[in-house]
Amino acid sequence: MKKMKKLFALGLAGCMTLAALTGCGSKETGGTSQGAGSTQAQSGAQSTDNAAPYKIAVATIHEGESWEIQKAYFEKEVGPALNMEFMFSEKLADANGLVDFMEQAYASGCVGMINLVTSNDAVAQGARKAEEWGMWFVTQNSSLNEDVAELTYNLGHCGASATGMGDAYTKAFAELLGDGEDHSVFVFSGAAVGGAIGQGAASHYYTVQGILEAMQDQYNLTYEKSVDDIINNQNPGEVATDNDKVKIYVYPGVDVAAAITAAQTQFQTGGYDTFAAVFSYSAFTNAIADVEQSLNKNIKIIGTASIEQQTATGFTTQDSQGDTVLNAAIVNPLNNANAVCAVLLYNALTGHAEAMKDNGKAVLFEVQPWVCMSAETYEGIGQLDTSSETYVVNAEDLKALCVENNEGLTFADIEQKLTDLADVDAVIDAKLK
Amino acid sequence: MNTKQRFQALRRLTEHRWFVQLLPVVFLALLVVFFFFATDGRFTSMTSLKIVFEQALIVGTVATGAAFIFASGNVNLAMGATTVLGATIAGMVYNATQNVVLMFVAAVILGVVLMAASALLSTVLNVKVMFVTIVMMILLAALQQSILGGSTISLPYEMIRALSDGGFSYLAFALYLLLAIILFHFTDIGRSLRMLGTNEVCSAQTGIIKSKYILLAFIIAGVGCGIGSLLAIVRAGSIGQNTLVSLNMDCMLALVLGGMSIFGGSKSFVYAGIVGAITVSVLNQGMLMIGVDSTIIQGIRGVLFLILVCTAQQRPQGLPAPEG
Repeated sequence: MKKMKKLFALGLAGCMTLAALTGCGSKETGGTSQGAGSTQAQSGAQSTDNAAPYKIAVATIHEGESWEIQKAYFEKEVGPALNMEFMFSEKLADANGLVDFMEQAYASGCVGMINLVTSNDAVAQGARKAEEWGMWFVTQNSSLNEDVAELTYNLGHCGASATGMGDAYTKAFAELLGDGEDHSVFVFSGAAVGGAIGQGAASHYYTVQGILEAMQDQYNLTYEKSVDDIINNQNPGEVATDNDKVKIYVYPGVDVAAAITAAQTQFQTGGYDTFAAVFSYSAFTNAIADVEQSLNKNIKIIGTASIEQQTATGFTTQDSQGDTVLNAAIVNPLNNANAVCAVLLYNALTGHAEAMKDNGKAVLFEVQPWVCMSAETYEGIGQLDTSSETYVVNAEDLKALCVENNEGLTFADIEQKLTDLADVDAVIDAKLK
Repeated sequence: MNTKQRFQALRRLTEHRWFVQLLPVVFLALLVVFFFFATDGRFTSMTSLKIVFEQALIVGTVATGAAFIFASGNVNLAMGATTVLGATIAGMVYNATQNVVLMFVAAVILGVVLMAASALLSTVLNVKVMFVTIVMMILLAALQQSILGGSTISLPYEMIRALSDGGFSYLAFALYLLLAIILFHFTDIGRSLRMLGTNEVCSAQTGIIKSKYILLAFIIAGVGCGIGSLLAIVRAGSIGQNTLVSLNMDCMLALVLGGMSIFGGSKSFVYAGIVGAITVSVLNQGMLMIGVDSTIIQGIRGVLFLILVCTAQQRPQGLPAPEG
């Protein structure tokens, strides 16, 4: 019996070692279905009529209500319009997770990838993997990864305009703080560190820059360090402003739970009355409400938001001080970026990849955020992106952005479309009135 | 045969060591067969199977090392943190020297040193392994955070590609697995660790020195962490704050899915880690290929995990009882 056990263990070990070694040095040949997809992509011969749908993978870092709204847009509006079928990942965290999902997508026959994992290393690794397999690759990000911008299958990036976010915050802050009073602000700066050089999130970097510059202009502050140094400081702390009445506290990082604790502690001192978050502002609202109640003091909240019920609730719910929970929002219309990503893939899959590039180089498409300072303004925005009639970029618009239906269309036309969508009042007029 | 007798017969069957060892393998084989039919054979294409195996390599390697610690009835919660810190330092060593051999040596040595430190802290201070490794996990994560800050360590794509194309990951894993199987199943080390897991009192009375074997288990696991660090580098080409954040839990999940007893002891076997890691990978890929929503996949994984734990995990009945 003992000998049998040893033999069995040895047998299993042998099988596993053999299985492991069979993979050594083997050259990637590509899955059957994928190979077919790639051929179609290169030839551009596949017609949308009666053809099998293009299988597109979407690698996400999101979850929750906002993500469900985006998934519904992909499945109900983009899919039927562009003959696409989507395969969504779980919430991913890093380059390793992206590569895992890409491999699964590749084995499942996906011919295109929309990547929402925005770190530079993930984008680079993903784009190179896609290049190996002949899978069209597009990323939702606010800055272009130059290292892989010239790869054939990398179609470019589309995301919230980093400078647009900065401008929007500058405008919102000027309006929010323009009551002649001194205000002190706690800024949750997220992944702003290194955002200007492709290490963090560019949109977070420029958002914080916008806030700091707005504060500087509003109160004529003199910072001890440069704005760049303040943003790139990895340690949380108060910014030296040369004005005792106006304080700024910057909390960097993506650990929301730790940031909530830090924010609550700082607000509890009574020294701050404004909170700004580059993301996840809603996670802070309860903690801030507790402080408002305990200090009997109103704290204004401004944050980056998307079109979702949570934002509407923020604008319509009153806190203990009789003010709205959310005082201002910079709304990032996420489905605009989703639409552009899908259109880029469709054009590439139908043989028009070159038209989507600038002299063979991937392009950065910028989605302009909308500034929303009141519940009234949000009432209009909140009705967008809820159905085919109100989608900012609906099936008709998507088809109009396809080279197949609009000969001579280039990446510049798509950029123009995004510029047109920057005027939220015009969008509301067009879609709702 | 009455109900009680049938129940006892079933219990005898589930307690049999072959049942515990074979159930995960049979389950894995059934999954592969199921997905073969569900995907019209696409799941078993060479490309698909290669991807499944590649995705299981990092978790499989680290979990193989962790099996030595599990077998002794202990749990190490710092495996993930050790691996990620090893990858960070090894990446920095490569960027500073452009030398692959030095990178390899740095990763393995760091893995061994960190794990040995955990073992020594536990045995010298006579603190339970789990508590020491919780502290180590927090300490190493903080160290990693202070080294990286908000940045990412990126390694040259050409080097990563060369290692990947050269089959480095397969070779490193295969050699480590072979070494682990020999040490665990055919030497005094494995036997002593299993004995420790079955019953510490009995093992002490038979002359097994607990501190010595715990240290050895951690050193072997440290080699696994070192190799896991290198596999992570080769796979992603970069190390950041979020790299392999769930590795520790993934390893434990893989070990349990692979049939490893959570109590350690005589029913432990070293290839549970890779069997479990492949099972997770097969589940993920197979379900995605048949179009199951990603959120539902997480739920299915959880349910299967619970079923396997409830079916195959029972405290070994050694006399006197492990509590003494």
